[in-house]
Amino acid sequence: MESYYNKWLGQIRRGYLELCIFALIKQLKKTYGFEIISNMEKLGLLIKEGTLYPILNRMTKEGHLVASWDLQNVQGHPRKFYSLTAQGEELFARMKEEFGSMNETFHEIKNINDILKAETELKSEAQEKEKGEGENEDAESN
Amino acid sequence: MKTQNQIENYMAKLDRYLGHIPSTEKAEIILELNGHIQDKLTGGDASVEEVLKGLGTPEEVAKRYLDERGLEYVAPSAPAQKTETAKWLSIAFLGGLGMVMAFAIFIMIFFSPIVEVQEKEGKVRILGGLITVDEDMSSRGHKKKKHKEVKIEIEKDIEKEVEAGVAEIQKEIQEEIHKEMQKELKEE
Repeated sequence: MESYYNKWLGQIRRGYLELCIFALIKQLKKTYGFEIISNMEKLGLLIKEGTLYPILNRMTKEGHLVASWDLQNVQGHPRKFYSLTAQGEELFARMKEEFGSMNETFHEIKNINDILKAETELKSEAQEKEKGEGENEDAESN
Repeated sequence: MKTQNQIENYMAKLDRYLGHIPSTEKAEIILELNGHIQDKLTGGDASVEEVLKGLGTPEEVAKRYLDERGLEYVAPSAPAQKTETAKWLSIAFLGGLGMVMAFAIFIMIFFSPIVEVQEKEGKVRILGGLITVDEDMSSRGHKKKKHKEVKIEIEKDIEKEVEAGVAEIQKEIQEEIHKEMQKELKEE
């Protein structure tokens, strides 16, 4: 069970993490790796730096983020700051929408029995109505 | 100082494990991670060992970067690097040799035949026509005469010798006949 869970966790975390990284960068406008990790930690999401930096690297390479080295206003060493590009904004909007509808679907699952019940009721109502109309037509023709 | 050495050692390994990622990008990756480590060291009370451990091994980190790019991780090792160098050296050597050979063949075809004597035209073509020596330019007529003279002299010599030879043989035959006849006369 544990290995199944771990595999599942890895899979679901993966996409979720990218969504959260996009969301945080969008909120902070301009941020760097260390800041992303410490802010996520505050919110209860632990990201290992060995995971975050390669993801930032790919997002930048694919044009969703733009990176710039800030050599001033930093203590001691240069920092690589990231912001969303227009393409990144668009991508994040789509991801957010998709994630929202996934979430909705998941929550709707617990209501499936009620939905099915309501559906059958609607169907039978419609059938009765049709039947009734048919009888009326018969009466009229006679 | 020791801290810096440990970080440098870690980054050197990472640099190697990042394999085929362009070196300018590697440099950025290393600079960024280095900055992260500095932030962690100054911000908290974690030791270098702990910070580096938290990052994962250089191999693991390199694998993640390569995975994100759809590149395959190839474990580098010291002997592997040596054979790599040897491979490129031998490729360079064979390539160079091939080029020299091709050039040599080209030269041979381009300048062939090396020497060609065209008797009818009285010309000597050297290196496939690169240099043409025309006999007219020197003293062709004179040479030809000489050739003829020599030819005639030789012919005359041969004639003389043949005549002399024939005369000698005739003489011998006559002597022989003479002897035979004298013998016969004596017997009678």
